[in-house]
Amino acid sequence: MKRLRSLLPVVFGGLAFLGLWAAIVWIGDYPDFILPGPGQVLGRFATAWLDGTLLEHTVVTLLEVLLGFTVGAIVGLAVGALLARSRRAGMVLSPYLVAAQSTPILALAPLLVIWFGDGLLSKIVICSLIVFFPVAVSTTVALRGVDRRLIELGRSLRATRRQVLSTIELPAALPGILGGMRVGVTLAVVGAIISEWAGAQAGLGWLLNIARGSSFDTPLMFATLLTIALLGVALYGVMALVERRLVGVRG
Amino acid sequence: MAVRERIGHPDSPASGVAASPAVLLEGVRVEFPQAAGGRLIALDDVAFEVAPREVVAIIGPNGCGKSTLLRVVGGLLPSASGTVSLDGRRVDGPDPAVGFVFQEPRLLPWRDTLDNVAFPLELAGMATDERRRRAGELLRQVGLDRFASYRPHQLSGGMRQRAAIARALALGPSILLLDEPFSALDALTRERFNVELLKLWDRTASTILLVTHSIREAIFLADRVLVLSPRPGRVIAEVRSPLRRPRSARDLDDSSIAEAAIEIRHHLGFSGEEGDRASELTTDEAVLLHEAAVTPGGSDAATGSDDMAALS
Repeated sequence: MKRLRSLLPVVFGGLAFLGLWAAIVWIGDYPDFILPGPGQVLGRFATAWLDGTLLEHTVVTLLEVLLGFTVGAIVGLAVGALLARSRRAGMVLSPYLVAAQSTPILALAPLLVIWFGDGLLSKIVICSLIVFFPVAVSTTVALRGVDRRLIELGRSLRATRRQVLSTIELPAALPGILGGMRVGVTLAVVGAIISEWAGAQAGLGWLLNIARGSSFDTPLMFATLLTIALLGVALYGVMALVERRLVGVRG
Repeated sequence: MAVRERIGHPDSPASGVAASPAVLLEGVRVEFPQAAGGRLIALDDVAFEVAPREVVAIIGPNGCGKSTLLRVVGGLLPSASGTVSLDGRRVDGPDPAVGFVFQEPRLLPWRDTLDNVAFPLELAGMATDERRRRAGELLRQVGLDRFASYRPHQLSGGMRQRAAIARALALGPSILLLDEPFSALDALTRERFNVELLKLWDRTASTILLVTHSIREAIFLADRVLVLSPRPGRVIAEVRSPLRRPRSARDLDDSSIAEAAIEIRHHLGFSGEEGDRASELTTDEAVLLHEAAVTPGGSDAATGSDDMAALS
């Protein structure tokens, strides 16, 4: 009951948004290919799911996101741990990492598609590039922030370096690392869409392109955008759940 | 000389090898490089020994290197010169014979009490069932068996420190090092813990080396009290506790404590009776000066200075 009540503002906000949207379409009397009304979009959303179009492309994008996120998160963890451990590694690597991160992925994506083809590989590369940075940064910060006194405790109990890492540092840094992954998973969706945009044969980004370019099906564009947003929310929710399971309640 | 009689305690592991002291320090000097260049001498020419099953307290003004001294004995910090030996073995790293109780409980917040106490056993590679059983026994010894599944943040400060003591006992150490273990507790709880610690000591056959701020606590718990000078710390006096063993809560109010306390205060330099002493700093004044000199700002620099120096 309490949970339900806390959802009320969200529902109200959504309804208000739909109402405003419908009002704008009605007042401006826009044609469908510029701004379709909420009813039309929801209808198109339903038919595109029922005829399997959205399902097919969602599966493609989801696979790219999951693989790209996994690769990016693993590399981000490793590099983050290296940066936390070694000041010198930080000094050597940091400028390049920041420079790479500052280059818009949108600009890099076409190049990466040329190099790695318009299949799954280029999507994984682009997704993992975009996931890598927040995970690496949060891992470094979280590991550096581990209470030195707990590490000293480990030393006093004659823990090996590896034991200190696995039983003290990683669990202590886990909330921070998972926070970075939560950011990363939503970015992974962005990465997948951008990479499909740059060149692909399937996926929600590709569908967006088709709906806009060749079929002028603006309601389908909206339905696709809605699907992308829902995908992001769902993945974020899964990450939050994982976080709650792994971290639980701490003092 | 009650101390010496205790050495032959029936379940003392050291009863057969009474020849080598449990703890032996010779000419120990500890320095820390300073950010501004130069070196800070924390301890200089510290020498003392502790017999097996003896309880020795170290007392001294803040910042005199008490915690540093304990870390050197525990092998957590190297000495610049001099040697530390435990049970006749030279210390060159954390020693399996040592159980360390820090000033803060240092429990792992993501583990429940049982798994915190079992932590040393886990690191040592003991099987899950066995270490949980052993940790359960330890929790019973410190009266925490009903709180085995509680997380640290659900425990009171006293309970947390009990858990930390149970954890320090997990590997059956022959030497317990206690770094102001009760300083965060209120006065009444602290007295109770003092009495309980002695009971525990009676059962566990450990040698205890203890750092404390409380003169009364030192006299009540220890056989001998070593007084350290302000930095650089060195042992400037040794005062024997007048209390006989076994001790109980009643001894806390024994008048002989006051006499020993006066002697210790005298060595700490605030007797206030003699004219030539009047110019010397009181402990509190010394603390302030040390804080100013050692750490730029920070109100818990008193103990923090030792900690930070030790960890940097």
